[in-house]
Amino acid sequence: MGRRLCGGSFCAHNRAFERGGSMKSVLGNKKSIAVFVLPAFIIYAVFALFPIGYNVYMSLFDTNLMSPGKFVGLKNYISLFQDSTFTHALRNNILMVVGSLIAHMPLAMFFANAIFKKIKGAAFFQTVFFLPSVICGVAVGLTWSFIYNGNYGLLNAFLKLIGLGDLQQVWLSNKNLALFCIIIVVMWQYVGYHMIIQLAAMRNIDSSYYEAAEIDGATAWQQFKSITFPMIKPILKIDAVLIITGSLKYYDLVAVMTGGGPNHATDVMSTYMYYEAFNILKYGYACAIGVILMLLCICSVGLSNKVFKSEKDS
Amino acid sequence: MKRGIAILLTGALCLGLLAGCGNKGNADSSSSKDSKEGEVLSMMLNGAASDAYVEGYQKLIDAFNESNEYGVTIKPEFVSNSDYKTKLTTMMASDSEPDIIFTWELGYLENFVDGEKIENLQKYLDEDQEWADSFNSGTLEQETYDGSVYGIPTAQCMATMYYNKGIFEKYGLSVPTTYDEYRKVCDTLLENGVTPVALASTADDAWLVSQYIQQLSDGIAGNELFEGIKAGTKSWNDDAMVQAAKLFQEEVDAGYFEKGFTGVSGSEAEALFQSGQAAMYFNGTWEISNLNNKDVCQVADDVSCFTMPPVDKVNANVSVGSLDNSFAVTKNCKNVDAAVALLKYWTNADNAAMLLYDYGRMPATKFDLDESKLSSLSKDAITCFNEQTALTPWFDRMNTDLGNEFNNSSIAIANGEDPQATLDNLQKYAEANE
Amino acid sequence: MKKSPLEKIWLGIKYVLMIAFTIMCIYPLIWLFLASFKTNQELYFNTWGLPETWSLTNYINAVVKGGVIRYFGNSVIIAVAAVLITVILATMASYAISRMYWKLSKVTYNVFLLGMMIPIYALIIPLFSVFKNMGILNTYLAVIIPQIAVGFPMAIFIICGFMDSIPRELEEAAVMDGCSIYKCFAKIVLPIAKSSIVTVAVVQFINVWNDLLLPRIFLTDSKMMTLPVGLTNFQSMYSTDYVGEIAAVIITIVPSILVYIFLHKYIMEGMVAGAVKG
Repeated sequence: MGRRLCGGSFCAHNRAFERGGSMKSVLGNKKSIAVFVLPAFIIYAVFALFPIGYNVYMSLFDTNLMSPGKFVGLKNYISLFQDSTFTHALRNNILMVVGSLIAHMPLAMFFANAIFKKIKGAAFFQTVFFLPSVICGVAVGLTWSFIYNGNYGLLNAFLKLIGLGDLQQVWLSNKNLALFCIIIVVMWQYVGYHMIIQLAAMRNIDSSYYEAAEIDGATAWQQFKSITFPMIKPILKIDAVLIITGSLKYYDLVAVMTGGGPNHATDVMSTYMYYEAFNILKYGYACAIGVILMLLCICSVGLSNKVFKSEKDS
Repeated sequence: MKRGIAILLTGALCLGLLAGCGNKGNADSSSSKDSKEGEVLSMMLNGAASDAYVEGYQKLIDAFNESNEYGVTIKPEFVSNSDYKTKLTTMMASDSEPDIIFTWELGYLENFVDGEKIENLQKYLDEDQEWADSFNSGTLEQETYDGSVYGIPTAQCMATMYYNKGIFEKYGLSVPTTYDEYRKVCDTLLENGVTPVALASTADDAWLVSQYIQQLSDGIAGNELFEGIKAGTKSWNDDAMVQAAKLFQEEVDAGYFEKGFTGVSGSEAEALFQSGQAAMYFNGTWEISNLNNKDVCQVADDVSCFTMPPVDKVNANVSVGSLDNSFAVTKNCKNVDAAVALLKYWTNADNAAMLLYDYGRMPATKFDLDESKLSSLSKDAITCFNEQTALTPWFDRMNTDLGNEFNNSSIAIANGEDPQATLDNLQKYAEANE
Repeated sequence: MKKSPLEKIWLGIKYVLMIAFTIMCIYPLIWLFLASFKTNQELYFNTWGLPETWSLTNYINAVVKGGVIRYFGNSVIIAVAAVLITVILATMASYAISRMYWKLSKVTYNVFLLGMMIPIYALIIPLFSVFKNMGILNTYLAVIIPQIAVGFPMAIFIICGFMDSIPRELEEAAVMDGCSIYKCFAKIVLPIAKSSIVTVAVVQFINVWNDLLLPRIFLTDSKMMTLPVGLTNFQSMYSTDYVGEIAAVIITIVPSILVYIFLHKYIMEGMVAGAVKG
């Protein structure tokens, strides 16, 4: 991935060669590049890359890290795909990705566009919508557990109020609904975050496009369709990467609100990995989950790059 | 020249920041100061500020630090329950575990014993027969592996049914002695619009539901069922276990537990009972200090407890229960003698009495009780405790993995899943993970 | 210009949705604030009402028993150090990756992004061994360093995205005039990229400030713990003191909200803006 993200430097390369001379010697100076990159890279290599490598290596062992491990090759990976809890967790992650994409793409774009079009109170909405993503998971989880509570939860009270009392539930204990309850909170928490990203992109669009469109008598929808949306597409790609990787490794609210329960119904890969590693000490197995998670992230990022690229080309 | 300055500045800034932080960190740690006074033993305990007993433990450790003949200083660190396992696992994995650790008995400690992380304490018990004999029967056995003791229990605990004497009197109820009577008590309470039993069952409290089912199964098939499952000679879908799960589901359907109990958390269930909205509360002996506390419990004067009556009378007085707050000495410990001295000090009659009288910790050792110092609830609880002929530890302490799956299955059963099918699945899981 | 009925309805829908969402965003905060004054029993039996008495007991507990004030300073030290170092080093690296000419820039960029693909939970066991060997367990460094390392991918992702969009002509002109690379960085690119850097700083601050895991694992001395760890002081083996926890939560989230409110103008500008032009 990242080919287009780095497009700038590639073009720059060519230009530099064309111009040659001092440009290249200054902007291509090996020593200065090292000065800029190495401090970050060394810290990153020792404290992030090395642990990632260690994880990949340990995933080939059957070990609890106490007694010497036994090399088992790919056995952990094979058992993972026969493990119904893991496949269920994988499914939950995919639902999480879908839910997040819905909330954080169209819905966030709707809010962003409304604010962009200077709806009354735009500045206020803009500030308030971002608030949930500032608050720590413990606070969010605690609050929403009370909203979902079966006996005095706000949601049940609301359903009763609008005459849908039959739908009342102990939401987080229902194995079919609990995951969706959590996904809705995740959607809620980060709408504002992604709205801001998209809004920023919209504000960067040259206003002359809209002035021209106004003169041509284009409706608001037409303006959105043919100016706003195509212009923010590059940001949407970056945003999609953030959304997908974030949802695949999601941990916080699941851990706080249901702990993966009832009966593994809301387990996602991260919570399952944590449980396997620290509660029942199957460390090699947990590492294998981490590696699968990483591969999935890489694949889906590649996929999202493809999707947005082909759209642009066509 | 300018470049050089920039490099220097950037480098200096980073280094300064890093070094500054490191220094502040070191300045705060008091290890250098302690080492001058004598040897320091690190100890990691499970406890949070909201645990009343933490204060008692701290007092005990302070007293030991003042008086011990080895001149060692114990440096305790209390880690809250939610992090304890993560932290200990991480430390064990990098050989930096503290000298003395809190541990759960049976399966949990076994991992570390197998990993050769834990000191064998058998020798110390053999040398000091009096100490060895002071432990209640059936306690040291749970921390014995290959014939040697590796962990020392400092307290015991068991599942109990608390009840509100006021509510019982109001409806002319007496403490049930058979399972049928228990059902009748619940029915009467229901007819009068009182929630019979407060029980929590959110994810963190799943073990309370499985504790209930296990208690029923103890009353159906006794200690043999637990021992059978532990040894692998009986299965999780044993008829007795299925029957227990079915009885539990009947009780759920009959409405014995508060409305929507599958979404009720531990502290919420406790609040129901403490405010007199539920007649009974199924939990464990560790709750005594909370229920005695008049600041939080309006019905404190009315609380008493009984052992849940068995389905089959033959198995009366077999309850879910086990050790509490066991400690083990790790191979990292340079002064095992001093560590053992601490554990002896902890379990001596005076300290066990202090922890019982002031903090409601049920002792794991025998000593002469001064009943006048006990609250009436503690007295009732000790009476129940002494009547027990056998205690069956929680399944998640027997084997963390399978026990957790049993907790999960219990939640599924509470939510209406078919008991037979659920337990069949559990058995399949157990066989697949052998 | 008059609006057509259809547009009016659409505007109405917009307002309803946005106001509904505003309530959803603010109400939980108000609820938490009110709940922080309740007793545990009130929390369950008077969940949505006002507290019966505005007692400060929970806050006193949070401060005295939970030791929240002491943790506050630790949190500030760790958050400020982690944010500063992440921002400085990530900006430098981004500059080289995005603006300078070298063969491995794309590879380096992708290697950095790899860090976004793995949950931090997978890293703590190997990190623990590393820190033990370095002898920095139970120092602030043990928390700051991993925060920096896992903060780089996000930071470089955002800052690179922004820098890629800055027109090259500016720098090229400066270089032609004999401007050194460091001057280019400090005088030309840095001011333009300011908003993306502030964005990274805010996001990183929120992440570090709210993090529960690293301090709990890498610090042992309770004097050094951070604020969110104070929250777990209310969770014991058999039960949780929710109201105490909620009071501590309030103390914990106020700084993040303040930081956000003061800096939100920059976040707006900074969120990968400009990349559109690139």
